[in-house]
Amino acid sequence: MKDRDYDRELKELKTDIKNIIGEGELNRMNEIVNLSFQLDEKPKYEISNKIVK
Amino acid sequence: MPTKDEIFNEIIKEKAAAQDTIRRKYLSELSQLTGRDTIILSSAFSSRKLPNLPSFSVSVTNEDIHGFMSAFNGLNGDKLDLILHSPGGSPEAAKQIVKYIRKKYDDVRAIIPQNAMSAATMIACSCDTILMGKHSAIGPIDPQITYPTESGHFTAPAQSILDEFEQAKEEIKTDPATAPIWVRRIDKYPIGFLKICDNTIILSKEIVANWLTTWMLKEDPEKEKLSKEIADWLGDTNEHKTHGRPLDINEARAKGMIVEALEDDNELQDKVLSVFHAAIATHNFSECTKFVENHNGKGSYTIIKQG
Repeated sequence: MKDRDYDRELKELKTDIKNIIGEGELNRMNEIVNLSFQLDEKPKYEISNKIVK
Repeated sequence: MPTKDEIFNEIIKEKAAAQDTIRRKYLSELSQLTGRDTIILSSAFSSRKLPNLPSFSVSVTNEDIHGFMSAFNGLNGDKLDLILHSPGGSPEAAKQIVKYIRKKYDDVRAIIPQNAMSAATMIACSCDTILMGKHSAIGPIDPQITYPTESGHFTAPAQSILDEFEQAKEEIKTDPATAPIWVRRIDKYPIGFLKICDNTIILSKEIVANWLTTWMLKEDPEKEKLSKEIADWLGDTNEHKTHGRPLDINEARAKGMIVEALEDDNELQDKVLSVFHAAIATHNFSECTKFVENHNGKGSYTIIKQG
């Protein structure tokens, strides 16, 4: 059985979405979401590894 | 057997990193009782600190292979007890850990005092037998995929991602007005991502079926058929509904897995639970989120300091 071409299907779906929404509106949506994520507080931590031989 | 509270009090009384001393004492006592090399892989995933911990600091990762290398140092026995307390993690890391363990040991028993989920269940399936308590659990092995998003790393079942993709295609086709709802989800999937999901699902089941055939069910005349059935059952996202669903000793036995009850041997149960309580205390009293350690106190420890 031939492998399913997920990449082609994904590319087609992204193109369909772009055609439905329109490139300008799509960019505007992305800008708004990206701005909101920049305001999120990011957790800070320091990771270390200790070996006992 | 000391209770969990008694072990915690013992640590508080000793102070200054006493959790390490006390945990090692109980691990050594367990190994002396069984006469087997003993290694524990323990994670803080069930600790109260979890909400603030990054998932990779508590899950099975490729770094754990280094942990096992350290823990194998100086062990000369031919039988291993592997205590697992883990939420799982990378199936690829699990595969390498098992390969490493099996190069050294012909006889491996998994001991699950509470939970060995996902990739930790996979590791348990590579053992000759599993020892579980009445309240212990293994879990579904359907792989989880972690991918970066704007708000940090996000983890979802591979099968759910594929199902979501199908749903998006169908909904957008039948009602184009739904496209704005899907755009952010679909847009973040890179090329190759869906194929990775598909391959990982197949890989997890194949690996587990192969391990069961090679070790746990090696004496069974229908080992290949039974192993495949067990792997399919463990990997069935739709049957289990959630990836974290606990599967108990009775369910595992009913499917044909070889599982002994921890409660059948009181002395062994006492020693195992003492090690387990001391491991949990380690996560609660220190910044150690994960460790791999042998009965001689050698191993590797992941430490997280939160800012």
